[in-house]
Amino acid sequence: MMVRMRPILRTFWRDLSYHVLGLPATILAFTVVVAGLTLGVTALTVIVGIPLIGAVFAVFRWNARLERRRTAWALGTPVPEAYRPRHGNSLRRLRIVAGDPQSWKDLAWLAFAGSFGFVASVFAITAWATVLGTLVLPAWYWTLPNGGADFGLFRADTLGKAFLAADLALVAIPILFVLERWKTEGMVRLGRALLSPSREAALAARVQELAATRAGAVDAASAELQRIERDLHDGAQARLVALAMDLGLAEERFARDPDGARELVGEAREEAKRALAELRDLARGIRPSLLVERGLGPALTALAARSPVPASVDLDVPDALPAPIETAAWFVVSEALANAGKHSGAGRVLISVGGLDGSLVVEVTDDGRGGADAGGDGLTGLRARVAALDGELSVSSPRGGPTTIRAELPCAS
Amino acid sequence: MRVVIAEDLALLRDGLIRLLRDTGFEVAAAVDHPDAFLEAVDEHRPDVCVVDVRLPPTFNDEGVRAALEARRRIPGLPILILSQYVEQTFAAELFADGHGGVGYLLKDRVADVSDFVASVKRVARGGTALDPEAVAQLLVPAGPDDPLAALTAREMDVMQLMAEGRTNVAIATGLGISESAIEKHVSTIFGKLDLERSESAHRRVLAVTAYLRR
Repeated sequence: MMVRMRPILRTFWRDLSYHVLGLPATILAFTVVVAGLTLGVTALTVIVGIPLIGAVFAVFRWNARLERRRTAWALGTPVPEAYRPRHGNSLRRLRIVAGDPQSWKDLAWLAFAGSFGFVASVFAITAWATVLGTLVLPAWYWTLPNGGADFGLFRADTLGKAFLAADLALVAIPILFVLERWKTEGMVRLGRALLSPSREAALAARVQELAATRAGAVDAASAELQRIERDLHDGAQARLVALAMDLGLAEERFARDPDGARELVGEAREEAKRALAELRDLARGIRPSLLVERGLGPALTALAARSPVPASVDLDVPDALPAPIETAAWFVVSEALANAGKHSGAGRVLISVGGLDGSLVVEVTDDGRGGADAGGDGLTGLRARVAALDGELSVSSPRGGPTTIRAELPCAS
Repeated sequence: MRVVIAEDLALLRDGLIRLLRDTGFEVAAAVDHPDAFLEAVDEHRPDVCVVDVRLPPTFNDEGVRAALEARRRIPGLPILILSQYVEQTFAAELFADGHGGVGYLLKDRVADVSDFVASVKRVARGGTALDPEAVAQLLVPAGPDDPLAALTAREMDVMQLMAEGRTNVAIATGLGISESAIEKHVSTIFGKLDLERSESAHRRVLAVTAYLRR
């Protein structure tokens, strides 16, 4: 018969280390259970004990988490963890924790580990130490105080008897191995049964998780739709209305003021071109085309080049920004430049963009007369756009200037 | 004629200012926020207001809310609401208060300058201006039993223009038929729909739109 030594050795080490780890772990579990139950029961009698009970449960969970790792180590597969989600005030949370069967299964395991588990660990370590010590007894029997080791049936006080003892130990090794295997296997299985969630609880946890991610996706989609509607309403639609208005006025004017009318027609044509460009941008993945093709940096540089007020850029754009962040940053700069051109009387604008603490910070400062109305002129719409991404838009515009529009957009998803 | 404008988009606000100035209005104030609008109305007591439905902070119907509040403070204050789309309720509350001087038009209508200006003036004089699109949406018979289905094509035309708030003279000019013929049509329509007759154009719109929204 071929006995494969390698897997047997590996199993031996795993079982043994489970119990070696078990020594401190079970002592800890014992302490936690005894101290926790004592404290918990005492706390039940006084009202101020409620936070204390919460703390006791927290320690149980922490200890159970450690035990899950130790069990997973012996098992070779992870032990899943699922508790009922906690919400509401502290009393409500405590009630959820106390009503969670997993809390009590945790406690059952800790109590088992802290009692029988400790004995099992001590036994495993002592037994293996004795067997292995006896195996090499011929080398050291003479160092013992009485000239040998007492085995009850005989005293190993000569080399021959020491070898006999070693032979017995050799026989004991497979027996102890199998016994230990059974014991460890049993304990590990019990641990897994108590520490991992029931099938129902695992499914419930999964459903909860899926519902949360789905709700998030739906929110994101509807926020995106709202944004598109805003882009259309404030962008191309408004431009087309302005264009129609210009053309209507021009028609009225032609008879009495042909030059004025011609000027209006010219403006209308420019407006039509801008509306077309915005529609094209919207159609192309709902983002300005340069953003899609080149990324935020080049798109902002192009925006600065087109700005009615001379604009300089100071860009340190982090790599791999989420698309909505890039789009929002672009719109912030675009709107700020438009405002600077229309209202501020500024001679220069500085656009600076950079990463800071996991956020993208966009700042547009002009040297105009200040006094911008933070509640109007598209700034409110911009604020909504930034807020949709959990960001923050601030406007500083004291009379006399300068005006700074700053958006912080958290990039962590 | 003095006008107060409430429109949050600078582009359109500037356009409206230019259009109304060009056509002989005096723009007393042009604002971008409902609060500023109410202040401007208190301060200037305009002859007419032009208000965008969507105003900050939420861009839902703050324009209509502000208009209602302004008319609560100054009963009968003429207000023309501008909207990007025909919305289901199209400021029904504004039309319902019994005073005249209410309008609801799509923004597109500004392209037709003389028509738009005529609507603003009609509202300023206490008349009514309901967008043709909004009326058309209402002028769909609910079924073969709907009295609307009993109207002839010509009567439907008259009904449409009547609901928009036009006077008999304007309807006659628009359809190219005599005023007396219009009067006959109107009386037939009121008979077929079993409505109470009224000489005031605004009351007529009220009766007609109330009927259409029943």
